[in-house]
Formats: sequence, structure tokens, C-alpha cells
Amino acid sequence: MTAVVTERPFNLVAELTYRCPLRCVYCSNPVGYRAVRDALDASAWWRVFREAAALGIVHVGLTGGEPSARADLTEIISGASEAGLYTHLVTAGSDVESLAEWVKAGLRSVQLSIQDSRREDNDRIAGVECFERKLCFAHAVREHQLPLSLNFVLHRHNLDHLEEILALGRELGAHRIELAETQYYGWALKNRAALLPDPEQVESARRRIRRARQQPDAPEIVHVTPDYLSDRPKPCMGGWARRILVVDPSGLVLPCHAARELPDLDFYSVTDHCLADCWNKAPGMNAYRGEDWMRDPCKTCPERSRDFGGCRCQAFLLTGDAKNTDPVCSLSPKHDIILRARQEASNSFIYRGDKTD
Amino acid sequence: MTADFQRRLRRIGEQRSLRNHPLHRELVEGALSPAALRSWVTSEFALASSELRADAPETLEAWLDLAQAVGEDRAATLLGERTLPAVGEACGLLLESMQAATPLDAISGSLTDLFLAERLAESAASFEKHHGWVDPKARTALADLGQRADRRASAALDFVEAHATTDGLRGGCVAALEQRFEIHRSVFDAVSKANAHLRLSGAAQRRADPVDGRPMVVLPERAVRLNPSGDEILTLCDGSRSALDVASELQNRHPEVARLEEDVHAFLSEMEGLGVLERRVSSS
Repeated sequence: MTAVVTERPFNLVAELTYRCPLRCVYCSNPVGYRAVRDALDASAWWRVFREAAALGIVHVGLTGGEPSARADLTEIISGASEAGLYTHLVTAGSDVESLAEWVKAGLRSVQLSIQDSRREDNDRIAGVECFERKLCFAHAVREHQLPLSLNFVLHRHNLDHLEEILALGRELGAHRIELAETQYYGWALKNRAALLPDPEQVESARRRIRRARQQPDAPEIVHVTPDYLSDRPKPCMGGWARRILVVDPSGLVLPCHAARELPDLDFYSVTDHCLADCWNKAPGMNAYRGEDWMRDPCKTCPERSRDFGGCRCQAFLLTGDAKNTDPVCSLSPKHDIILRARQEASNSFIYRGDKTD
Repeated sequence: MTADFQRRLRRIGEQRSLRNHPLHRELVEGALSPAALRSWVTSEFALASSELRADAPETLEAWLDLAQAVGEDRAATLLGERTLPAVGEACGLLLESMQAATPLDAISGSLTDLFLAERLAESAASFEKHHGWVDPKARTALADLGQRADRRASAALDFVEAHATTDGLRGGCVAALEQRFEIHRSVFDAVSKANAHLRLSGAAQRRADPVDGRPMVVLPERAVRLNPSGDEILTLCDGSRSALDVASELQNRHPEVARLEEDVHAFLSEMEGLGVLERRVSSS
């Protein structure tokens, strides 16, 4: 494929490692994460950052797994910062002791994930005790005067705690609270029946979030709505390989966190290629760029330039073919898959790391 | 019973009077910049022109006199070209509520006039004490506006007393008055907000786009690309200027562009919403 790549990435998602002390039941990391080793040392990441800046990237999100599971995170941060990238850390807040060092190395902002406003529920979802450490971490971020954004993943077990969650966010001094409904990939797909909320729960959450936004001096509240409960797909990643470039722990360059699960796609690794080639030339990156790959009903749909046909990974995971319309779309001939999933409900979890069939 | 009701309305008027609003306190203390004073007058004009009282021609004329006395353009004020976008929205709400109101509720709402004369007298005193540059005609205009407000308030009180004959009607009158004060307050809030000094937020990083060299701002969760005028506006937001100052500075620099100030205010609100800019508490 010799597509002329006009897309230019702004944002690098650097998955430094899949290791993580938490065991969240909805982790979006690949279910086979254990087989992926951390292939890039700090100097290899430095090269990636320099090449990213040359491609036009201005922002890096350092994520994982848990980035602080790497002993060389400080070095990695200073490399990103020296390359001129806005350096943003996405963390579970496991390592408050190193924060001062990271700030000195050029860290500019932090996103902290919290699982629930209540300690016991937070720890139940995470599969380990971590609530208190997260609160300490949030306070430390504000003491360093770094912008703090909080991420809460929403599902049927915490949607009813919404007011408490928002109050906790305000108390911790977050400038932004991201309320992200669970997206069903990785472990979340395994636990879909136990996580998927009732439509009434979601509708009530929408109303309550709208009200919360109107409070004086409310932080920015972002609600990532659950695509299983809407009738149009999300414009996943702002379009396949358009604006965001993901480098996974093995060095593989991907258009999103989940794309490595798609079969028959050839992506390049920064261990073998320069980043520009990984972005522009890898056949996998070009597989779903633009609209040529689309089938009906997407091919002629007036909304295709807005939602890009939804999510390729979801289309594959649920219909077996990534070229299909994301079945979340009510125009998809396979939309009944989603309708059936909405009927399911149960209350048992499979924890990250547990055996799955 | 009716004497009680009058007292109740007066108490609401006194408690909710904008005499206690931070914007008015700053005005009284002489802390408002000329741009902020002008914005206060044009906002009062916008409110008065949405309420359209019986003596609207004389009242609006007096507000225009006052606008001119603080250095504002009469014609532009009349056409609403100086109205802050948020003030315009509040006035839109006011018009809607007036359309839906019964005559009794509409007249109860107009009891925001009750303590207006006192507030305007305080403004006049502040002009003499702190704002020597203001045309002395301001004093006449403010006195005239105060007398008109007192006359209207006393007629409105008589009307309400005569017609609010049941608890249900009296409850409606109270609600209408409280709602009207709420709108007036939101107008003052909008002026206060536009009068707070703006600076780049701690989270924001200004830089050139590495690809095309165009100005941009990078934030924890997003990047915002700017055109040259957006960049020029952000440069002015150095913590020493309010939105009002920035807008009037821009309008002075580019007199050929019509209604530039409106666009500047819209841009600044957008940048604040995105987290590019932050407001410092109160003006200097």
C-alpha cells in the first residue's frame, strides 16, 4: 500500500511497561500482557522522543501498566522533556517518593487513576490495597503545583457513587475529572457482564454530571460515554493513525493500545525502524487510514468523516472482522451483538492475572 | 397583613441589592479601571433596555448620558455593540422571563428598583472622589436615574399591594422579584469576571508548532493551535490586564475591525474554558 500519509501525529502514548502492582478487572492492557517484555531501555526511549518531536509530536503521555514500575522513569522523563515534549504522566500513584525527582526532571502534569470514592470499593476493583497511597499521591502532586487530572473508570458498581467521586475530585484539587465509562477491551471484555451498567444508571449519571458541571468553579468534567449504550460508535483515537501514535513496551508502533490484538496486521517496531517509517510506512498503520477500506454501511455514510466507522478493534473483537462497521452503530448489520450484550448481567469478576479460558 | 408583605418585599430588596456585590464595592472604593466602569454602564444600559419600563425613553437617555460621561460611544452603546456576550445572554433570559410573566409578576420583578437610588448615589460619590476624569454630567444622570427608580418603585409597590390579594399571588411576587435579582446579579458577575486579570495558566506551555512554526499552546490533555491574532491576544494576557483591558487594547490597535471586542471576549472565554488562561482574583 502506498498511501500518501497526510496525517501528522500530535500526541505520543508511551507505554513504558505492562507491569503494574494493581490488578484492575477492566485493565485495557492486552490479556496476554505477560508475554510482552520491556524491550526499550531509557536511551532507546530518548531516541523515540527525539524522533517524535521531529515528526511534529508536542505531547507525550507516559503510561503503562504502571510507568513507575520502571526503575529508570526519572531518566525517561528527562529525555522526553529535553526533546521538547510536554511530559504528562499517567499513573496509579504507586510511587509518591519519586515525584519530586520527576518534577525536577521536567514532568509537567499528572493523571492519576482512582477506582472509586470508597476505599473498600476502590481496593476491590484494583484487586490490591492502594486507596490511601493514591490520596497521598494526589496531595503531593498539588503540593508541587502540577496540574492534576483524575481518571475514574465507571461501571455498574460505582456509577451510583458519582457525587462522592466528584466531591473527592474537587477535594483533591483536580483541574479535570475524567469519568470514563468502561470500554470493553482486554480484561474489561472478559468482565463485560459484571461491569456493564443498566441504561437507567447511565441516563441518571448523565443528568447528574450535567448538574455538577453547572456548579460554580467546577473543574472540567469529561464524561466518556459508554459506547455499548449509545447507537453511534465513538470516533476511536480520533481516527486510525491520524493524530495519536502509541509505542508499546516491546517497541511496536501502533495506532491505539489495543491494535496489537488484531490479526494479520504488520506493524513496525522502533527496535528495527525509525519512528517516521513506523508511522508512515508500516502496512498496519496504513490499513485503516482514510476511507478506502470501508464497507457498507460506512462507505457511503454521511457520518463517516466524523466517527471514522468507529473502532476497528471492537469490530474485530465482536464481529471477527476489523473491516466491519463497529457493531455499536445501530446501522451495523451486526448491531444485535451489542443488543444481546446489554441483556447480560452478572456479578462475578475475573481479575487481571487470573486464568481466562 | 399587607404592611407585612411590603416589609417582606423591602427586605428582599435590601438583602439582594447589588450594593453588596463585589463589583459595586470595587466601584465605590475607586478600584475599577476606566474600561471596567464603561462595561458596568453598558451592562446597566443592556439591562434597562431589556426591562423597558414605562419611562424607558428618559431612563435609557440618562444611561446613554452616563455612558458618554465615562468615555463610551453613545451610538455603539445604543446598538449593544459594547455588551459583553455573557451580559447579552442574561438579558436574553430576562426578556424570556418577561414574556412569560403575568403583569403582577412583571411589576413585582421591577422592585429591583427599591434600593437602586442608594446604589447610584454611592456610585456618584465614588466618581467625585476617585474618578476625576469622568465628565461631571455623570452626576446629573445618576441623580435622575435614582429619582426615576424611586418613583417607579413606589408605584410598583402600590400596584402589588392592591393586586397581590392571596398567599398564592404574593408567593408569585416574591419569586418574581428574587428571580429578577438573580439575573441582575449574573450581569454583575459577568462584568466582574471580565474585569479579573488574566494570565497564562500554570499548566499551559506556549510554543511554536514544530512542523509549520505556527503558535500553539500545549496543555496536559490537549494542544490548541492559534492564528496570529489569537497569539497576539494571549501575549496581552500577562496578568496585568483584564479581559476588558485586552479587548479595548485590541480594538485600539485595530480600529478598522468592526465589533472586535465581542470576538476578543468570546476567544478569551474559550481559552479560559480550555484551561489556557486563568483568572487572578479580583482586579488590582
